Amino acid sequence: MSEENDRLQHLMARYRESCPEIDPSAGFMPRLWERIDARRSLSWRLRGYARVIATAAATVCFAIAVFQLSPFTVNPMYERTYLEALEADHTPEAMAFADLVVDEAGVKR
Amino acid sequence: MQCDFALIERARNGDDAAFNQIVLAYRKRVFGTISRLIGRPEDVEDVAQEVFLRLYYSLDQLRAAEVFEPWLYRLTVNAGYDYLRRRKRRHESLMADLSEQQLIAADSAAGGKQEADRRQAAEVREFVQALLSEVSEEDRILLTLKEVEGLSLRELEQIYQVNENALKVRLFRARQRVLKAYERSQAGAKPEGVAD
Repeated sequence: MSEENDRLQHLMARYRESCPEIDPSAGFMPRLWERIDARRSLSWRLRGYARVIATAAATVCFAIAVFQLSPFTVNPMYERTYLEALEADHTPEAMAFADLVVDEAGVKR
Repeated sequence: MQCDFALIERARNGDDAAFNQIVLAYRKRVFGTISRLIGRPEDVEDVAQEVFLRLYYSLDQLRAAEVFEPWLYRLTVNAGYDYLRRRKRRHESLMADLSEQQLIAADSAAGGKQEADRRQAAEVREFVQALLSEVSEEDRILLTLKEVEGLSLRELEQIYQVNENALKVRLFRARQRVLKAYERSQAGAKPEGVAD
């Protein structure tokens, strides 16, 4: 196997010698800068769109926050105490209806 | 180092003139490495541009100017790897290239030693490229960097960011696979230039 290894190394060394030296063409640098600029302009455009979207989202968030904190839009639910809410939920009519259901079915559902 | 740290620092800070100088300093080396990695002279320039494009947009991620060269090598290897994978996906064969080279060789009227040397070099190149196409892109790149580019284990460690033992194992396995392909090729026709 060592002999094969040596032969492989020798072959690779010959391969290196056999590879031609390739010189960059005259258009290499201009084309490189064209590609850099093309990507730069794309990233600038994307960054611009992202900025517009972020600004719009921030504006909407701000508007929602102002609306929520506004004294004209207070939700009456949050104005009540726990006892008031409990009382509102258990009106005498509702309690009587619950008893009726238990009586007829025999089981409380 | 083919350019000083200050130049790299300037390029990192967005100085396009400094970046231009870096490209000029390294393009020949990058061309050589890519040429040996992909084995297609007509695509070398395109892959090299991809390397420098990636370099331009990733310079700000470079930790320190001292690790610039391994960083550039890594970008070169990655671009070469992407190219080889793309080519494999397109099911392209090297045979098209070989016949083209053979045609060029046949077309040249001049005989003599120079012509014979050129033909022999082309045969060695074709043979090694056919051999390397038998193994994975990872093996091909690793072996090319070690055996053809002549990089040390330390340099490979910096490029692959793995420890020496892991690298030795990978190299051993890659070598074994190429040797198997080599043994298989021995059964077939061996080019004149490869004969011992």
